[in-house]
Amino acid sequence: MKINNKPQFYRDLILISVVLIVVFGIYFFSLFNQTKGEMAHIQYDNKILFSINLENGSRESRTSTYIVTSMPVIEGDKLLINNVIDNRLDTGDGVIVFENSYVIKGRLGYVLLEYSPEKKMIQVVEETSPYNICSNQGFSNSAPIVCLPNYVTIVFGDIDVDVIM
Amino acid sequence: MSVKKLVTLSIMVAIAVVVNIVESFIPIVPGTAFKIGFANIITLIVAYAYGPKEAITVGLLRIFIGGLLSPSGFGPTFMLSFTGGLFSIIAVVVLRIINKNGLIAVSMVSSVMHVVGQILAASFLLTDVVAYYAPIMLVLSVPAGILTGFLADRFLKVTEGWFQEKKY
Repeated sequence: MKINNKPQFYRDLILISVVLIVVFGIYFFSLFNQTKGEMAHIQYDNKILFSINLENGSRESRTSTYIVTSMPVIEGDKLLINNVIDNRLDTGDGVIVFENSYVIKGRLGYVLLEYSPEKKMIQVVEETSPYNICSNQGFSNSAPIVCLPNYVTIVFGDIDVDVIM
Repeated sequence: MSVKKLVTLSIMVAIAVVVNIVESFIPIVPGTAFKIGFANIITLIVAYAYGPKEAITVGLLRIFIGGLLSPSGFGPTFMLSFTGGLFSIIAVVVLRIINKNGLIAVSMVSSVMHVVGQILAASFLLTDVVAYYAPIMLVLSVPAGILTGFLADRFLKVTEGWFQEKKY
């Protein structure tokens, strides 16, 4: 039994080494290609809705922007502003802005984002999804935030970005 | 197919589905749904205790029942788990047919292939995010695969002979 196992051990060793070399090769290659951007691009279905400059909080919008005067509240599948139901986002893309809070509509419901001027980071505060992976992630300025069930992603990149419409 | 084999395979599917669901509540990498892949132990056990045909059946049933029971249903998360699961099952089955490697090596390849399948599916859904998380997931899948392979190996050693059909 032991003698039979010896060639298998060497075959295993070769297979494991090949996999390890490929995996760590990809990993170290990616370490040299990392970009830490100063812009947060908020996307829905791979299209950029708007971008926030993390240094100064300025906003570059590529969709209809509605600036409101009181904090939007998400209640179930409805959005309340000043206790009045708001349905301006229902027709499609768009963003509701109140100071440093942003509300967009994802596939499963409204998504509330917050930009923190002190930390120069962004986080997802509230969304509707089975495991709430993206709102549990907290503030980020380099690791992308992914709300997969909502098709909402936040990626970080440079100021100049190619707009694919 | 004997009654014993039928019952054993059904229990294997049930265990895999439950393990899959329980695992999804335990986050390991923040921001992703990375899992160790304990459900893959069942695919490995079935592949080496019975054969490739049974492993494909149990593996695919696990993915589809898991998709039915998951809160997001057959959405984008199902796409990821389906392509990942398919790739890992194919890896196990191919290496089982070649039958020249130990379980730990097979499990490691299967675990890495699971991530490769997920990356392929994710590159259609979330083009920009894949590049950031893919290398970390690939590196983490190696120890996860070794762990599941070790557990499956131990299981098959402990239950040696139990899976064989009795000839009367």
